[in-house]
Amino acid sequence: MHYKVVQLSGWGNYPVVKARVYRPERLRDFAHMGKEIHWIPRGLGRSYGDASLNPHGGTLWMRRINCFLDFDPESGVLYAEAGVSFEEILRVFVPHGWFLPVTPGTKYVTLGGAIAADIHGKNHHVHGSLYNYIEALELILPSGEKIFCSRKQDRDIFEATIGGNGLTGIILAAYLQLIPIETSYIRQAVFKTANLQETLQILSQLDQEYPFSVAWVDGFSRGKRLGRAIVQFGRFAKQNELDGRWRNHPLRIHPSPTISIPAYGVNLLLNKLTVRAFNNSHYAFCKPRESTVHYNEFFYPLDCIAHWNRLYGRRGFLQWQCVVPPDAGEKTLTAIFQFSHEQGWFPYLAVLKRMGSGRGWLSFPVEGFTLALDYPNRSGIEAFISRLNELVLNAGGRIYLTKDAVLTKSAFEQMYPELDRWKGVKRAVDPNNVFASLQAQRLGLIN
Amino acid sequence: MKALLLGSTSTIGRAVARELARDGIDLVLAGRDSSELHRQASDLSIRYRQQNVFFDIGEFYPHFQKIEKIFNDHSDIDEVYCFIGYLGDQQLAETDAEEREKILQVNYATSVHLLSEAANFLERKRRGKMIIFGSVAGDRGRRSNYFYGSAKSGLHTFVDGLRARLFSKKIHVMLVKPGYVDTPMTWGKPGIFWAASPEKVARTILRKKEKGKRELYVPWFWKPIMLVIRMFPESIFMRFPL
Repeated sequence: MHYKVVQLSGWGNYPVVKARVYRPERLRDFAHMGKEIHWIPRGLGRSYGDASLNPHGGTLWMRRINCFLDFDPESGVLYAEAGVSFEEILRVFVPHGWFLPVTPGTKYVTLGGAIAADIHGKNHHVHGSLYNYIEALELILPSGEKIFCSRKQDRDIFEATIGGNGLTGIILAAYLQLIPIETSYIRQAVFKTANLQETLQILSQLDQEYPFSVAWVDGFSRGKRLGRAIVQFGRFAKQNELDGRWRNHPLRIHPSPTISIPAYGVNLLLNKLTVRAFNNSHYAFCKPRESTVHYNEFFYPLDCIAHWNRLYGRRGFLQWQCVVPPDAGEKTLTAIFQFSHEQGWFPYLAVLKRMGSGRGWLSFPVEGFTLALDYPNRSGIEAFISRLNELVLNAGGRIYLTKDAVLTKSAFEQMYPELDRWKGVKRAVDPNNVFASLQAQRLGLIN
Repeated sequence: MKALLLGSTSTIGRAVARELARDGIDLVLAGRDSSELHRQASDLSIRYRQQNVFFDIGEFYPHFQKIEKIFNDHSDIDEVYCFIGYLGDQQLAETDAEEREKILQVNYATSVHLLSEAANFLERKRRGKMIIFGSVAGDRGRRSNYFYGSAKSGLHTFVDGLRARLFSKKIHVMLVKPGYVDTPMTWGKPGIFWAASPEKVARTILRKKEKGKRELYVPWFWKPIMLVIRMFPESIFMRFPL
């Protein structure tokens, strides 16, 4: 395989590295991978930080390994290759009444990347992470051996690979359990809260009633209004709940993106003033209501703008996501917002949700409240994020590696108590650290 | 409608196959790598709920009986696409007879044999279309790829003749000359610019095929580029480090 030298970054456009990118298209390409000491697989590049960057070796771009291999219409189990995107899965299966069991806030992720990050979605408090819906994996181990692993076979490798950030080998294909739906519309209930306490309360109260929940928080509000939010709950609508115009097409799929941001440097659109104005009006004009919306609007509001990350300009932005235990929730989240405002850092986007219990290993979700914040990249951001990380660590929480570019090794090791178990598998399958990333190096996931 | 795709697992072949399958056209996929054909066939049938079959036509010569078998089993084929191509290693081919042979075999001899059989079949039916992939490299010999280029050039001449023969039988023959397309052939190679996505190329080809185009450059700007390149006097052109 040939490589192409490309300036590569995660979705946050920070950091940027020069990478040698290999793009396999056929299965036999994996037998002639090229002479690299280190490899990292990569999908659609939606991890924000440096989890898919590997300047000291080859980047294996899996997007063209994207065949659907088998589907059982009885059980709803899909066998697909790692480079297949969630967007493609929806396009193919929604018209037949199947949906993704777990989905992040964008459909432009690959199946392989989603597994490597053990993604969670708006239904985590009920259904858990993607792990619960992966039946088996087809994996190329660092030795070159191709194996199937599952809960019954090579279980340790299976557990370490889901949420393993691509460090245990190449995920080639996976068996994914899809869920049946009657319509592709969401029956949603929208609430407005006046402050953080109310936000957390309503999330905790209504979570049992709805499988999907998320809160958009006004990251600029302070004082008594700190943590005011628009909280959305939802569940899939039944066919008889749809309006006349939709009832005849209950399984409509999503449209293509309507706008595309053509280039960097249009960051004039996005600054403290505009975001503050947007937040205020978004909050003021939002009416608490019940309504029916398409899944694209409910799950993927930002997908209608292609390359929206370019709005942050060439320097990019950092998304930071933590989860803190439920009892420490209000105190820690308040501290995070207050500290942020004191330091002059205002999150351009703030999203909060409750998480159910987690599964361990390197997987991010644990029970508690998870908060994701977007900060445009300015000088001093690393020091600032490190302070946020300390706050989270002291509260007994943890940081999501898929969003991270800053975390230190020592903080990371305290956040993930099952790390040694993961490292044991890593040492067994990959003693020479063939699979490595910039992040893995920083966090000591490789030696 | 049913289409036969020769070399269907090539990057452009896969993009065209997906476009055709989306339009509900049944496909016969033919290639040399069974596991890739299998992958492709299951992908198309799941994506588009469409029927298709695949044939492993094997290496080079012994495949004649197989292609006859394809036409016997699928007498309803009315379009034949040929994506067969092998760029090879120019430098290696200068000294290595085996590489040379492979470049000539795949790009010229194999294509000519398979297309002749396909032409005979369509001629008997007195209808159909043939869409054949040449290359801009076949428009003029250059030092960087003249083995590949000359084989494709031979194929171009063959296709022109074939078109003339089949014209009266109402069989349309289209020659596609791709410039840079984003495939493994161009990935990471120096000097590549504006490589078109295979999906876009596939859509262009299917659109132009309906319009009855005889020769098609994709992307379009390769037509003026190649016009200029063909017009240079050899005394100057041979000095170019192209």
